[in-house]
Amino acid sequence: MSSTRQLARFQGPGGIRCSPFAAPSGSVTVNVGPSDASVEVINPATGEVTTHPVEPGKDTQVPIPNVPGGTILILRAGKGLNSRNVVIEVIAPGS
Amino acid sequence: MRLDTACFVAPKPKVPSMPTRRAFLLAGGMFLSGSMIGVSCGYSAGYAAGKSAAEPKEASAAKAPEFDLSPSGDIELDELRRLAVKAPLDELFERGLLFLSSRVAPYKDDVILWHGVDRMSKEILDNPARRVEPSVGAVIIAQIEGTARPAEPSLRDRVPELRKRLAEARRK
Repeated sequence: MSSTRQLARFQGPGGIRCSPFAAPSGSVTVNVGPSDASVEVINPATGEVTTHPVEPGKDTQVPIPNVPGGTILILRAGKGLNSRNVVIEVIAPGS
Repeated sequence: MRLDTACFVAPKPKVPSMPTRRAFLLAGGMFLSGSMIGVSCGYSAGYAAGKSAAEPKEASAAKAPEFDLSPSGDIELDELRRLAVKAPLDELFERGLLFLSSRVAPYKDDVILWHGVDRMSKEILDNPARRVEPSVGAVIIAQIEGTARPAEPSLRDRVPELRKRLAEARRK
């Protein structure tokens, strides 16, 4: 699948796009804008935040923490009030 | 030549029932009385309406003083606090994901920002017409379930209803 076709299935505002689902301890393909060098994975339930470097403007695999299925995670690119956020749901395999 | 008396029948002139001047004074008096009654009724009605309209503002203003919205020295935090406490709900929901993610990090311990979560969850339950992004609703629930402060038991009580309401919105 070409990158363009793959991104058509992605979600998110300008600046960060990724698949809406991921597996626990898996990874998710993230595409950020040209000015972002990292993505934060935020667990709103626990407040845990992990930061991962990404290649600006390219698809990058971002690891997903080992969390129970059904957990909601926020992926954030950029800082402060100009950050862009998308939400993904972690789905346990077989569910 | 002889002069005969002749009588002509003419309608009896109508005497006005009331002299013109007296009628004028009476009409003027009635007009003034009516005006005074109208003004006093209008003033009373306006005062009552204004008072009832001002009450919700006073009630919401009564909630606000518990939050200190003076500049904290952090522009981002000040803006998020404004969103949480003062911003119209439309704006709060429009920037909901940014607000909610910032509340988790880096402002996890800011008590004032919880008021924004409180307002959003209350609005979702109270206003069926409110359009809510599923992602925003999911993050609100996750925050309440995972990190709701012990002082906010009412937020956790809302979770079942929130789930129900968001599931309904998703079906629509």
